[in-house]
Amino acid sequence: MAAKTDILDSFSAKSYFRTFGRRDIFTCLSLALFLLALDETLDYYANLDWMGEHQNIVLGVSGLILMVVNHIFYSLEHKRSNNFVGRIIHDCVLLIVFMLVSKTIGLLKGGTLNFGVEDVASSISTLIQIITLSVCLELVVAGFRRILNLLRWQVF
Amino acid sequence: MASLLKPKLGISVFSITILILIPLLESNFNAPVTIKRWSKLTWDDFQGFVQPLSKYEAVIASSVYLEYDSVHKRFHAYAGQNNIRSWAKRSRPDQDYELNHEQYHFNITELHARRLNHYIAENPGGSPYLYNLRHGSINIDLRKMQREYDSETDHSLIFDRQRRWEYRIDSLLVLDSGWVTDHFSGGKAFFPAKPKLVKGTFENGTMHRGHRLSKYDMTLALYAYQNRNIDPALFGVNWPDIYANNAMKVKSVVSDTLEYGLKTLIIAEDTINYTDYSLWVYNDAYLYKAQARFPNNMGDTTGYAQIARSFINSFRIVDTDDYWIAKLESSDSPILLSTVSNRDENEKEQDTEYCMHVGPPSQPGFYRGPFYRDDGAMFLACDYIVHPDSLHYQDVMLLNKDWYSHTPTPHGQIYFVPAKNIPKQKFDIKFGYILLEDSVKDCYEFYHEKIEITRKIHVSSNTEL
Repeated sequence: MAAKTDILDSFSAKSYFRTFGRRDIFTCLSLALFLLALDETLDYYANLDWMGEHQNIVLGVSGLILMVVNHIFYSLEHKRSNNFVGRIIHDCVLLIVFMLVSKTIGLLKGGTLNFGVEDVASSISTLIQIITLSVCLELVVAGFRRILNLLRWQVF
Repeated sequence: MASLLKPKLGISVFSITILILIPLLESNFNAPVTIKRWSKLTWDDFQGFVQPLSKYEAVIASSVYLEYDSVHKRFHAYAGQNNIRSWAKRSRPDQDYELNHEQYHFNITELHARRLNHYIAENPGGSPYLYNLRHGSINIDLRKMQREYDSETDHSLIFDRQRRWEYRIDSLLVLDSGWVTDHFSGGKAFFPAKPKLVKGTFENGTMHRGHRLSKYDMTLALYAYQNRNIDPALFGVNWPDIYANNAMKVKSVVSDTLEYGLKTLIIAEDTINYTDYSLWVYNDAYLYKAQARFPNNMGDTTGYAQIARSFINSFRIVDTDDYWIAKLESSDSPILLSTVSNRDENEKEQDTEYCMHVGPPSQPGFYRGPFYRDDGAMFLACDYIVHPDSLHYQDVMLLNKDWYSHTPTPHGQIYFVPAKNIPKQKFDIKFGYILLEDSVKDCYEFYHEKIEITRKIHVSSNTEL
């Protein structure tokens, strides 16, 4: 029965929302700002030979690392690991915060505030895309976590 | 619960600092931006803030811009350089050379702007979406070429490859207008920039005309030689002596007699560290030399050799008779026909216009011909000879007693004899000029060349002069 409970716990969001607060949002905010700063820096140095060809790869890998760091911060602050669904929701929060901060900075630079959504249908579509992306990324992170557990190095 | 507030605050403050600082550096603290359209660059066009920790001496920011021309009601692409995004360090030991490298980045952008304009011209009336789509794909090609340029030249550090790229970009920018034809000899070659015309006469009487370009640390030249008294076919036998007399060591000789009686590529080195590629060709009328010369003491010379071979391979001989015929037919300059007779010193002057002294031939200039139109009319094109201290008064051809006088032109003269006036047997013609300074004398001096002609063409119709 304990194993079945563990599996059911993995797909429950109760524990996540029970402890959800400003700390988690601030974590996502700081990491989103860091990722944007990294993107800005990579763009600034795009004229470097190796950078031009690998900029997107560096940014992608950095994003993945920051998602892991997000979970590490959660684990340190809440003194427990997040479950699978909780990690997906936490990833979604990070992505949404990243998108909001990115658009805000774009607006401050003189651009327009445009999320690329025109109606309810496109809004739902965007939300589904974010969730799908989170699930895919979380599967990668989950695999990485499994490897760390096997190495007895559970950091989140 | 562990409080990670300080680390998160630190990350946030650091990130915000970067997000504020980098745009300020990119805009050089909000300096005014100027987009310069494609033209020659100077260091004043590099007003950006020098990128920290960068190993480069200078960076140019250039893009293809697409705009709508409301006057002509069409889209138009142009290459623009952003002065604030382009920067240069103060310490630049090889200023012209590095500026030249950045200029060619700009030239590559211009090349892609022209490609987009070409696409727009081939697809008129297209939608903005279509042109923007093409603009996007051209930008991808542009970035790729810019990276290749920097990678292969190692940001201008590899000289021969830098020059090879310059030759390549110039060639792509000039396209068909780079073909230079010497209409007298028919020699033709591709020059990526406008060459200088050189001509003259050597001490042994050999006349020469040439187009010469000094660029890319190289000299690219196409020469044609004419001397009726020397058999150019002998060159094929005498070339070792010719090169030895010019202190050049021959490295390679490749001959090909399929197309012409003489066609030899000689690669030689001189004593001042230059390698010379010379293609010699003789076609029974002129001796041609397509030459590429480059330094061989600046490291790898592969790039220079590639330019040399590319230039040499562009050489060909074309028939320019139709060019001269068309030129005369479109000219409204009159040709005056008179007759001449021998002057007896003891007789009183009769009804004559002026007196002419016909001395021995003096090889007045490079010429082509004679050649014939379909109706049998004869043409002969002769280069203008600059005479010290005087201009030409008249350009003249003398055939038996027929005196054809033409208005002098600085681009050469086309002598014309209608078919009915051409003798059927072997004859000779004298062609040349009278100087303005002689017009005040009792007798003009006729500076001329004399050639014998054995006519081979059957006249099919007569044409009035």
